[in-house]
Amino acid sequence: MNTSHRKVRFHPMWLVLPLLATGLFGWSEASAQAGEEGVQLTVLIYSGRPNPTMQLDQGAVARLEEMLAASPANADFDADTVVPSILGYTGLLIENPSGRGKLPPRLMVYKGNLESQNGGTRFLSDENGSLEGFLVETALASGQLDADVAKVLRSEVPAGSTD
Amino acid sequence: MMRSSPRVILLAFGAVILVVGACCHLPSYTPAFWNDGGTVQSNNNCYNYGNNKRTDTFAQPGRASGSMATTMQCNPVRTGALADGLTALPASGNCPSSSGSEECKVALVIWPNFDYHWYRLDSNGMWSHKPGSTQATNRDNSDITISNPETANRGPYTNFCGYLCSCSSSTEGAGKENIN
Repeated sequence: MNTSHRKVRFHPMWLVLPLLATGLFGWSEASAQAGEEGVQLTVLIYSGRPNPTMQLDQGAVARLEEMLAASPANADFDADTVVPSILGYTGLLIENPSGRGKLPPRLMVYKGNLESQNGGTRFLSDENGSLEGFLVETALASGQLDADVAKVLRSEVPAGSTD
Repeated sequence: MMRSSPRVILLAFGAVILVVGACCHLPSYTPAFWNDGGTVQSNNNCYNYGNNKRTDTFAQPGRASGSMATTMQCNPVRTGALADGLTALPASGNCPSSSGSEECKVALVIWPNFDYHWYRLDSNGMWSHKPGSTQATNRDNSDITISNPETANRGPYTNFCGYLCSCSSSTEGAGKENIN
């Protein structure tokens, strides 16, 4: 009795295709991850412990962009940074590593002064402390801050500083 | 005639390396190393600076040794630092110093229930510190150079816990303590 059977031939593409698929998936995943890397707000308050951080939602980012665009240049600022080297609250840091929208990669704000870092450094005025106030309110409203930290923030940037 | 075996020679060489490597030196006040406005400044905190050791991990007392402090009070933070290898200040009030090796005095203060902070004594006899991710400085919250951390304006870090000794280095960022 002759049993005929078809031999399954191995083709090198069988190795390549899964690798391609994995690479594409990985690329997509990485791309998705990079795209998902949002705008982060850090409260600069601690010396030893890591500072509290949170992601800003799209609405907050859009409002921040508007407020930043409306902030005038501050040619009189004469220090090399708006963030003082003191103990306690020293401002807020916005990081935009993906370059989303119109925000710079790094933005700091403290007591009426803004520092925008985008290749170089620009100093702006946060008139009436409204931008800092907005960010503090956003952080407080998120519910992500420790109650004690929230209390300190409220004492440093009183309500009513928001535009 | 007896000849030293290779193993003995290697052991002796290793011992010399250990001894030489363990030499401690007082740091000089060199804020530019820490104040790069980038990776170094953002990722090294008061504990890194106090020990003069760059790790880029925002080092925490006790983390390297598995004894990280979880409550912000003097004892737990101090215990964490001791576990990392810092040593208690001798009764003389001076950190150990002998045969070309001198440990650096560091001071611990606490913002009760919030945070801790470290100062270090530099080779110029004055104190300096690095408040978190801000720039290293030799000035306090009143913008006065720090001659004594006990009387400096420390803002909310009201509790003065005392001093420890750290094996530092004359090379900035190259302190010898096992912190992370």
